[in-house]
Amino acid sequence: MKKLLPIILIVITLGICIIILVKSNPQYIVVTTIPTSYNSINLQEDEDCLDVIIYLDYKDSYYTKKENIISSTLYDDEVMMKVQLHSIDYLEKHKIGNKNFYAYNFRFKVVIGDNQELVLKNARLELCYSDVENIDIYIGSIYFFKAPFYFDETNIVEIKEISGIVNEVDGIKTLVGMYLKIRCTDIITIKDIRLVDANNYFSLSEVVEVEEINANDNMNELLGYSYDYCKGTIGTIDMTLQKGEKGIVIPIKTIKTLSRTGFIITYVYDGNLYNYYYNDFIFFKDLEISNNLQKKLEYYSYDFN
Amino acid sequence: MKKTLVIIIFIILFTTVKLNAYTVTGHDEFYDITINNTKYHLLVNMTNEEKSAGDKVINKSKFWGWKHYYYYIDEPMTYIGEIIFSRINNTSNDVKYNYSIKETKSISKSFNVSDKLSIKGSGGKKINLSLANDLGIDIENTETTSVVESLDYSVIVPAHKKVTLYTTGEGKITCGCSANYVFWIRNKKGYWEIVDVKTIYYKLVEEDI
Repeated sequence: MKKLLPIILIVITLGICIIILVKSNPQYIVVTTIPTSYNSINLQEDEDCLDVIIYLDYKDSYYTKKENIISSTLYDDEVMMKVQLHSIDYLEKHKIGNKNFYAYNFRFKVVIGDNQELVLKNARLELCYSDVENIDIYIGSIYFFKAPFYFDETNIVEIKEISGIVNEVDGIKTLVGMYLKIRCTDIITIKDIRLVDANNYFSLSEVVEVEEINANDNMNELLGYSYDYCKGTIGTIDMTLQKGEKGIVIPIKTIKTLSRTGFIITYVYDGNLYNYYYNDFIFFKDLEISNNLQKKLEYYSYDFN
Repeated sequence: MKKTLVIIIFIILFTTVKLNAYTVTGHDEFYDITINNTKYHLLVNMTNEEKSAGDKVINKSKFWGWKHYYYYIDEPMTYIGEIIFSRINNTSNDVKYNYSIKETKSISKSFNVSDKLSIKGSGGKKINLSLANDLGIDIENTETTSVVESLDYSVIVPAHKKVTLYTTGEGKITCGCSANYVFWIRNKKGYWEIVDVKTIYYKLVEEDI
């Protein structure tokens, strides 16, 4: 027994050393992001930025050092576009499942050029590193739109109040409707309201007049019937607004999670057609990564460096 | 007379007058908090009688460590939060304002803690680390924390108008009292309340001035 004791001690010591080495030198890093609809309305002369929050299970790794990234690309089946990485900022620690993740905001400069818009329905982001495997993740969708001006040329229409209606669709909180309090200084007829989004769209035939709303109001109760959050046609609108104020709820058909977007109202005034451009507005922010959302996240593993 | 004056001056000099900022909710960041279950109250609104249920439990001495009593745990609540920005345009022209990522923050966790259970952190009052650890609060989140919005927002304030962007939201609230004992002697005792914000809603309102 006395002879065995040193061997047992050596084995235990070696085991502890191996555990310490493995713990201090992880084999791989796990990366994830919450796919969302990245929407923006900006003026032609304004610079466009895309902020993607990426979660990594290690803080201050090789993957979050700006100088290690050679190039960044946004792409889907139809579009591919190089973007310039502007900055990487650490935000906060987040628990996803039982694991700690560290959220980083990757900010990219996007140059849209003369096309007026950038649309990626199923956008992926590829980050090329100098020494390690590239990160290639699904981020959701992108719709960047260049407006000739904000609001309208006539000064007839004013948005007095804007807020969102947020419900759970498949257990995940998303924007399902928009509330606008519109004030007109003369009679107009709304002919179209367009959501600046690659996948989601307004359901124009289901627009209703509502005096006041709360952000967490149930859409079924607001409309007075069982609302289909995902399916249905865009429909048409031909709504005449008299001089004064009117509150309306515009339901949204949600294909992908949405929290921030702009919109364009097309209306007729004095026999002429005008557009009203509203730059992107953040309607809500979910600080909790719910169990339902966690189940839908894609986790990517890369060699640790 | 001189003696009396000297005594009065000494009393003034050596008496520490404690001034606590008064907020309706006990949390600087929230103008109003409504707990869905109306039988529960915010710490600032709790009567001594309500608090006494916890006192009875934590006043029983213990050899070592913390003793807790929870008045309620993770109760759903809604709140009216901070004004992110408010701009008045007194001019006769429309004015455009830009808000960048560095400026906009929203509260994700808020503490209302008795002085005896808090320590002064760089960002203000912080919950005592030993208590936080015992309550299972992540040690990084022991003070009121904010999330930085990835928000670049442009707003045009029309002439003679005021535009206000403010938040409402929902989350969970936990309230309790705790006492710490060292060899059966009570070392610290106090009340605490933690608000965990789950969802923030934004609302932009334009008003005439």
